[in-house]
Amino acid sequence: MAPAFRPGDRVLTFKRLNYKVRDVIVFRKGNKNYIKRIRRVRGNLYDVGGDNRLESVPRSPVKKGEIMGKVVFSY
Amino acid sequence: MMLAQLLRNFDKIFPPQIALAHCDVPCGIYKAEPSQTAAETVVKMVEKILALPKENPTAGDRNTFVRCVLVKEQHAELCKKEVLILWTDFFKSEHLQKWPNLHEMVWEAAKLCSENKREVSLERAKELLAKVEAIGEMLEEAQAAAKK
Repeated sequence: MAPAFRPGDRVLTFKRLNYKVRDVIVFRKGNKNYIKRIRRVRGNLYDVGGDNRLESVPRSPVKKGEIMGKVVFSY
Repeated sequence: MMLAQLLRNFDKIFPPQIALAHCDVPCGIYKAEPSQTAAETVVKMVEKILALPKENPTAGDRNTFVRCVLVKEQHAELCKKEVLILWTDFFKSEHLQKWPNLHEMVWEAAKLCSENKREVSLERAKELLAKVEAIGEMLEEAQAAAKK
């Protein structure tokens, strides 16, 4: 997610009713949390990707229920 | 900024959870090539270092030496990272039935990565390459079996 977020950065998130393209979200898959940017919204499914396109590869869509919140502040 | 400082202080009492930003979501893309290329690079760098003159090295020789050591270090670390990604993210418990020595092989490969950072040994470098190639064969066989 460089350059927006670097290792060690902290983010504050809030759960929303809906999320839109370009929102940075934190979601949970398996037993891990991930931070990615929404690229496309398909109903209750969100296609996400990293900002660092050279490193980022296609991934499975995120369900709304898996989203922990939208990043509103980083510090 | 005051808010940032306030939040960081709050984090000391309630530590935040970790969120991964790198491509760590199961995307199903696992290849042996990155680890094998990194191991081949380690071999190549060791060969170049050993080929440098031992007596009266020129400034150019010293420059080459430093650059080769740096690249060897970086690619040994990269090799270790790629092998561990395959071990933690691709291989599953059912693969242990076919390859009961899987954990040991990965451990040995990771150890060889560290040894190649510490040493300049063509034998160790080639040992690393052989180990990584063997893991790569297991990966490809497991992927082929999964497609059936």
